Amino acid sequence: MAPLLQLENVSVKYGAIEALREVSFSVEEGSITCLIGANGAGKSTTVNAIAGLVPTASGRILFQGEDITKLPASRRIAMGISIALEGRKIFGDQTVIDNLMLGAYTRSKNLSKLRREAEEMLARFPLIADRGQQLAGTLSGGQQQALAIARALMSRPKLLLLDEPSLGLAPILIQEIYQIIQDLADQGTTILLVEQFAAYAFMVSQNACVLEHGQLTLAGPVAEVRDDPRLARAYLGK
Amino acid sequence: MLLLFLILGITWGGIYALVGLGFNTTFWTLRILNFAQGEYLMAAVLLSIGFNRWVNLPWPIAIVLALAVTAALGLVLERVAIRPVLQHDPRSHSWVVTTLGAGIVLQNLAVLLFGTSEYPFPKLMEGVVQLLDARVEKQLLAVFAITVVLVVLFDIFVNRTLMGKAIKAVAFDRMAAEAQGINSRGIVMLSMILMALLAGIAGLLIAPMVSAHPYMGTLMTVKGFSAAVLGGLGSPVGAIVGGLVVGIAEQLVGGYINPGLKDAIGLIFLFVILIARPQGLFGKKVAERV
Repeated sequence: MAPLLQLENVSVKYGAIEALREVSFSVEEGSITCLIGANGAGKSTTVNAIAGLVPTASGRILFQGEDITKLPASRRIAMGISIALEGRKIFGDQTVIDNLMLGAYTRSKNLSKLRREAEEMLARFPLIADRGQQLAGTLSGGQQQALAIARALMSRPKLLLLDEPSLGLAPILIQEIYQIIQDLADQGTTILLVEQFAAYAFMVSQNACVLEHGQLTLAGPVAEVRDDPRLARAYLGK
Repeated sequence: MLLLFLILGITWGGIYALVGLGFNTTFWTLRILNFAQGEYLMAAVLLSIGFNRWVNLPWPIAIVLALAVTAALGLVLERVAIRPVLQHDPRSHSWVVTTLGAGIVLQNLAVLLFGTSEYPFPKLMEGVVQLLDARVEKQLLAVFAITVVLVVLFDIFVNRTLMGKAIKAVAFDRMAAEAQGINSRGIVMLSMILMALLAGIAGLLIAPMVSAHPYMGTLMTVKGFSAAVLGGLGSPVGAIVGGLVVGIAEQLVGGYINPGLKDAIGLIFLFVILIARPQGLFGKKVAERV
């Protein structure tokens, strides 16, 4: 079976700086694949390129076999790719419900239908279930992360891109967020998980890709990647 | 007299609020201030007069057509005076010069087409009504009523529609908005159209009370800007309150102290608020990473 997502020699440049160099990997349907590496390795650039938020300099991105490299973010969301950005990036001056409704912006413009769906989505997230009318900026870090994931789910994605969901959270909250991720995977959502802390990512992932200075240095099943000495090099620079 | 001054102040304040709301819409989505805004007010008025006089269109059609052209001019402004400087350097403040320059171009085009003569503009309503001890022109009340309706519609659009929430989302975090599939460039276009329409309608409302001429927009730019800064840039409520404060204050000062000081009030408020509370009455302090 063809993979749900496939990157073929994808490069991304920020001006003269090459943030991503000919990266190729694939994500199988129904799996969690983690993308790990040290700070500045190019993890966020990779998922942002997949989501259509940064342009690629070369290479191809295929989703369900279709070349989406040149498609705008809105088209990719409509096709089934959704992202929860690094740092949550919720709309702090709008309510939790409004944030959720905006998550389904490409799917419907019917406000009452979206409100109903947002309330249904809220019920799936105990961390924010009773916070619908609260301004999102007043939520705690863990609640904001839950909202960011819930908002990304509002477009009903086939592929969910999660960028550093543990960033800035206390260990107890990280466990709760990872429980949410596991539950989503159990329900059949395909996830590409960006994580700086490999140990967290390995707990839930089947496959892993390791990025180092914008290049893919290691990829394979978690059991193999975990014991590979190149993993330590990616983090420690040895 | 006090009642009359208050009614005049609230009515003119409402007009300043409309112009201030226009400043807010472009500040929201582009983080820029469009100093050509007053010229959109002038353009809508003179184009209406032109369509009526030269093409013999009835006033309602001339006005609708003039507003449509004014909205299109808003899009042109974004394309020629704002987008190029922001694409070159998003942190640049060159838009101060380019929007001011675009305003001067519009003003001089108007002088070329209409000369420097003053043109009368038809009133919505003729006659006066007695309100307690004040005789108030019906036109003034009509302007007040229309302004209130427009402010309410603006509030409903921004806070109660998905498109309004999308505008707020782009204003808050453009990349996060794009990650939801919101077309931020389309939202910017919409904000330019809104800016031009708000200014244009403000112009059409005041045109019967003042004479229409190519320079009528300049003072309104200053007063609308004062209203927006006094209330707090980025806050629609602030623009409305700021507009009302400036409008009422200038009528009271003009009426009781010295008519010559009337037009200076907005600038005095601007000066004081920028020293005492730069974020304005309803604005929030924003820390920017540099």
